[in-house]
Amino acid sequence: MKKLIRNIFVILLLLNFTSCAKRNFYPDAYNPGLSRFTSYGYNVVTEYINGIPYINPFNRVRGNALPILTKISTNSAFDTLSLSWQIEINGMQSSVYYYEGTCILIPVSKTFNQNDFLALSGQRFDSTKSAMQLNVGYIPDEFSGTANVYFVKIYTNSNDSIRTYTISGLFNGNIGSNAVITDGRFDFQISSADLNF
Amino acid sequence: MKKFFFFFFFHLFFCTYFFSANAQSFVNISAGISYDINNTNKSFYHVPISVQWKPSSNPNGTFFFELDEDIPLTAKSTGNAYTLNLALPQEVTLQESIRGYIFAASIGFRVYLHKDKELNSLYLNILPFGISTQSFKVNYKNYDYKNYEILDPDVNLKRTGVLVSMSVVYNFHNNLMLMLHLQSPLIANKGDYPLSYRFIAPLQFTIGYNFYYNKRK
Repeated sequence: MKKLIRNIFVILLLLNFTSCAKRNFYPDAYNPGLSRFTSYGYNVVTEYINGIPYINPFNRVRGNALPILTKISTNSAFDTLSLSWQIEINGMQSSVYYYEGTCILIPVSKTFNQNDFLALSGQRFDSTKSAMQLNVGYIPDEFSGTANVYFVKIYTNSNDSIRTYTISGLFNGNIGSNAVITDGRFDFQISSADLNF
Repeated sequence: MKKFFFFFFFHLFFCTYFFSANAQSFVNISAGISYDINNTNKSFYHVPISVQWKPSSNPNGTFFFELDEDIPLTAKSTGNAYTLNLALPQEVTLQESIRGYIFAASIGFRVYLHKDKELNSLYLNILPFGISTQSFKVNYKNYDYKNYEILDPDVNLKRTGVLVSMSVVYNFHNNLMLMLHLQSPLIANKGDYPLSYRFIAPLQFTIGYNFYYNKRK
């Protein structure tokens, strides 16, 4: 009996390791290398940087790399809402110089909370109100510039204290003359338990 | 349940064996209008063209082949598109048109139901196996794809799978026929990406003509 239970446990363990997460990348017919603009919580983000398509990395076990949404306290009159994610080149194009992360920064009030976050749905922030950062792989540095962000749809299907937010939006921007970010779109699912506001 | 199936099939073959009214081969062609009963939020209408061929002139021969081509009328829907361009409206609603092409090839058998004094007859056609292709073409009217992005867009889809269908046929005035034909939705994998439409299950109403040959007196 013990042997049977042990065998079942081993099989379940193997099944667990062999189960694959889904990429949820559905290509956009009009923008090669980018995903369709969706609001299903696929945790996928794609963008062109200088015309090269980038996407958040994928791991067969953990799935798509998740974004980080956080409020950064500052000494000024406003705090900063930061939405950041890892990126890598999508496809087989080779590039010596590549980027590893994107971050969008928006000023928010000191009392910004999750209800305020839900109220961002449908709001567009132009480059005078939002900033963008690109993290570069082999240089321990960040480039900063301006961004346009449009939170097209933010919703939750629950009223529980721990709930899931689905966030869909568009973005573009530029980091001076170094990098031009175009046709960015994201579709994230974030748990309220991971938020610090 | 077993009894039900036994009596059902007994009745089916009893009827077809002893009461095959049209003891001749035929080809019939019919056309009409069809309405999709599987998409409740969209109206897929088609003009179906159906060809049936019963090759056997044997009075007991009830098997036939059927080809169906459904020419789509455009189903209308809407999609919302968004832009970052501050010079443009941030949200626009686009007219979406979906055309669902259907081709099906089926094999089935006829069950005699009724015949009146004027030799008008009523049949039940059961087509337990068919292969079908459904092809959906999606278009967003006036879509400015350089400036706007459609949220959760529908996309084209083409799938081949199997289906079952059933029809009631009324033959009258010697060669004319009326047919009410219901096809199941395609049994095929639609893929993971959510679409606003489903496979079509057409309910067809057609009128046609029977071309009899190899008549047995």
